[in-house]
Amino acid sequence: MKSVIQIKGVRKSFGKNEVLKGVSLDVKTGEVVVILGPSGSGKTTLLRCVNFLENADDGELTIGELSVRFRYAGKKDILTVRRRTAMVFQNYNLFSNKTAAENVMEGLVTARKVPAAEARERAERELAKVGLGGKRDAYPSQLSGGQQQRVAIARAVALNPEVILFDEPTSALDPELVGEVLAVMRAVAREGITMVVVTHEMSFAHDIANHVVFMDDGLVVEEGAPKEIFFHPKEERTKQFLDRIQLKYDYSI
Amino acid sequence: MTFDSVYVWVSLKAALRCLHVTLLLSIVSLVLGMVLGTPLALCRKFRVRFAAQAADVLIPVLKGIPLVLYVLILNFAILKPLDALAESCAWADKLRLMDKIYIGLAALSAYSAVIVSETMRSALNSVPEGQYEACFSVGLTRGQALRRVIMPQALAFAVPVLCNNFIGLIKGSSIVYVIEILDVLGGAMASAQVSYRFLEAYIAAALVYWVLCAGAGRGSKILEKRFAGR
Repeated sequence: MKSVIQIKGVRKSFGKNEVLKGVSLDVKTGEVVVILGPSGSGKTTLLRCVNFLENADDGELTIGELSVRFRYAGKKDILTVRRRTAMVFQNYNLFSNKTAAENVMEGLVTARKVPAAEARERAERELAKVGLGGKRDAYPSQLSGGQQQRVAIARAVALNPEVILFDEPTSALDPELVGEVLAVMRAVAREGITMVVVTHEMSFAHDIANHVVFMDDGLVVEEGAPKEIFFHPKEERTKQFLDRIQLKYDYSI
Repeated sequence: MTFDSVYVWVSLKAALRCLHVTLLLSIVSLVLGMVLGTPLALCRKFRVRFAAQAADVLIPVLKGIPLVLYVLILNFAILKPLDALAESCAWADKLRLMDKIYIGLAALSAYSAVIVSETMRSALNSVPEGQYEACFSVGLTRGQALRRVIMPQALAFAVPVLCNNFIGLIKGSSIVYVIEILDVLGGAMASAQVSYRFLEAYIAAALVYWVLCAGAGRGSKILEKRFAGR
């Protein structure tokens, strides 16, 4: 299968603290990759390095036919990568001065020069798909956390990116709102959209992922099919983590 | 001499004849302050080389100088070089009678640029970092992000403070009487030169400034409501 994104040897330090110590990742077309790991293991930083929200110190990124060294990426490369990817944030980060529909349209109209009428049509279609067709004129402050995150997913999907990066999309939500967001993410996965998801939702990882990556202390400890990782982890570190998580939340896997 | 309200009325009429000068001074300096101050704030926010460093040093210094000194310093800084010219061309009279409103405008605008740049800087800092990241993640450039998302939100934060800045400029503009510009205060005082009714004249001027500031305050409330509608 063709690779959408390949990352090789990413390194990133914040001051003296080395957060990523040479991480490589290969994401294939249509795949759902879930990155697991304890907090502080560098999962989020890895995701943010992919679309240059953090500037990695070293490593290489290949997206389609474009290959860039993180350290030497120019403004144009960064913009190209950002226009081929989309991101869903932990804190939603909807544009608070724009309505739900305008949030979805913004990247289409301003960044990709899609005609406004067409963008509006696409925005309405995507909002309907996440079950918010009636909320297109609502401002983010008028929506619940779960609704905001669903708008954010619609905003990402509407851009028709080669990959959507999810950065702990359910971590900031009230427990009873997690389900609606996961359901939308499942629907997105079923459409065959390539996703890289950082999450603590084990059931989602188990049911939806094609590929699970376990990270700890800035390195990939183990990766493979979800069945392998969840039922036959090879590394002691992975076992410990899974035991802790599963005891804590009592997931039936 | 007892207080005589008739003279308040006389001075009030004199002050109102000069109302346009006060309005011109405060509105033009607010607008110029925004035009000059906003780019200054952006330079500091995004650490534009040289401009940011220069602003970091200059703005705290300029913020510490009272408005009356802006007026006096600019008055001499602008007039002194003209003196020599006037002497050689026999313009002495022209210079003496020159309309000094341009000096007042320059002083108030410089002062306003400093104040407004601080207002805009804190407004820009009030927009969460996540808003920039969201812009970048959908592929907007920094300029597009500023125009479409960041500045509209920063302005909403800035409106009440800008209105306060404007009220400060209306009242501050009265200081131009030291270089003999006939604004509301100057007009009221001029009317008292004949009658020596200074207390009445000051009270008349105070009334006019109070009404202007109250009006600006009302305007602020309306603008705030419009921006808070989302």
